Amino acid sequence: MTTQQDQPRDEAQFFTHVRGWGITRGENGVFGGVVEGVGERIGMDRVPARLIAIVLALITSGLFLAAYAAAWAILPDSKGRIIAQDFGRGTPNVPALIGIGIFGLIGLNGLAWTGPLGWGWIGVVISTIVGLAIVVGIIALIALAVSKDEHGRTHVVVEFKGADQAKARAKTAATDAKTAAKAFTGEMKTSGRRLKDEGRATARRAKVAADEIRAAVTSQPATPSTESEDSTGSTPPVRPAPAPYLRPRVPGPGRTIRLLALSASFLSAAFIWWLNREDYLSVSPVEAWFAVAIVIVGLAIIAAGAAGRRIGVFGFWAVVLIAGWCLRIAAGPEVDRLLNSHEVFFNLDGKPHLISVNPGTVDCRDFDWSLVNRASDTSILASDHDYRFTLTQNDATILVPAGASVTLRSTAGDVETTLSWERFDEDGKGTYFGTCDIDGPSATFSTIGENHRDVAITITPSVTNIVIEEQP
Amino acid sequence: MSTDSTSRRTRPVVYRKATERITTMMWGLAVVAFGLGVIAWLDGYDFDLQLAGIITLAIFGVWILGSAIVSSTNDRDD
Repeated sequence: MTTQQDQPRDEAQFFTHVRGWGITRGENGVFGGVVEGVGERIGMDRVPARLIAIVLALITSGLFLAAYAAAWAILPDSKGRIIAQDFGRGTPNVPALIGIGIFGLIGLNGLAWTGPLGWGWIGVVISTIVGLAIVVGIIALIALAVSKDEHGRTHVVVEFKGADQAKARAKTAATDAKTAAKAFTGEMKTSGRRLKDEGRATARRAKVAADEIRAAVTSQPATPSTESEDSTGSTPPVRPAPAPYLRPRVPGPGRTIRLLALSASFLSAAFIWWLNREDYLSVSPVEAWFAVAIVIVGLAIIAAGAAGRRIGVFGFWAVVLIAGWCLRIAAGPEVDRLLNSHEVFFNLDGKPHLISVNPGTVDCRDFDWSLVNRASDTSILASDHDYRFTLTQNDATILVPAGASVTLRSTAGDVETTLSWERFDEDGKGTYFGTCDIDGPSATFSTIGENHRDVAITITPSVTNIVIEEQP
Repeated sequence: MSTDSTSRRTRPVVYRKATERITTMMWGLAVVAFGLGVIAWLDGYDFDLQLAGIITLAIFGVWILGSAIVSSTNDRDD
């Protein structure tokens, strides 16, 4: 039985045109499935399509989000439902409409705040008002464009240009058919009588032949037959019902790839932990592992792709890790301070003091040199350095007081470290500009004795580049 | 009990075509490249983000151009 819902409804040509694009919102989407649908249309997997969408959302200052909201509203889902159209027909999808509104406003605000307009708060207010006006205008247009009934009341459905011609052609064809039917009926009446007589004669002959056959069959002895029931036709054979069509599925990455990735994760964690234990690591081991993890996920995706499988859970992890790293890189120095601060030791009156400094730049000038100068036991200062610390941060810049001398020590024997210092002299003679490679457990560099302050830096093997800047 | 799992078991399994495999592998390579870039960044290498963006866009463009050429060739064969 055909219900009213099964009947195709009239709709504005705009929506027919949109359906003609062949883009259908996906069923697995987080926010309406727009990205999934567009990705399917151009032959792109869901995960990379989402990655691109995230990047676009980050770099387009709201333009992408506004476009996303529009696409969410006008693209049909897998059942052909269009949110904007349903809204106009009085059957709104409220959660989707709220989501579209939020995306649209955020997008427009983003354009006005940081985008090409860059109007700050004034832009936000203006864009909100303009955005709401656009939404109201679009709603009004949709309400006009959506057909109310199939008879054309209040609807503005644009009919096909050839509809009138088709109607006229159909009318002519119907008239021709009626005339032909009348002629055919007259002819049939004439020939019908003749056929009736011939039929009666044929029926009589058939009856005689049937009686002869029946008599012959009853005179034959009965023989067993395996198909007796079927041949009589009293019990028709039972045919199996046709199997329902099942859409083929692409298998997931599979146990082998999943276990290999898990194994690589554990092994890499152990290796990174060992590197950290041996002071070969210049960054947080947690950060280092998450960087390696993303490579492992990428390799698993390659393996799944080569095997013709879906990437499955690795797609999820790729999105999570890449988004996390984008945020981490954007956060920059703030997170560096939390993860990579290192310790500085210095001696004062023979007692070690400990402070923490930020990575990247070690400012030795923060040290209260006046305390050292006032130290009573000068032999301690003479036998040791005024300021010493362990450096684990690669590419560090050390700020030292003008005229200080610097001693580098190693925690692990010979290390090769590049020291850049505009003014130093290994032999305490003259002035040297340039870069020096250090091979060995310890090396001392002194300026031309302008003061007696002395900085000692103990470095780990991971430290490969040190820049020393003399500042007052 | 679980209709979904039953239907999943009975649904026929197909593997992706060669072109789809290559596409998936390319995405895997992109993820690996990102991971290696992060490792290099942690090691102190400074990236020119604008240059990276330009290169990324160019790669996408060439990739989609190649896809268009392949699709055109396949349509002609059909």
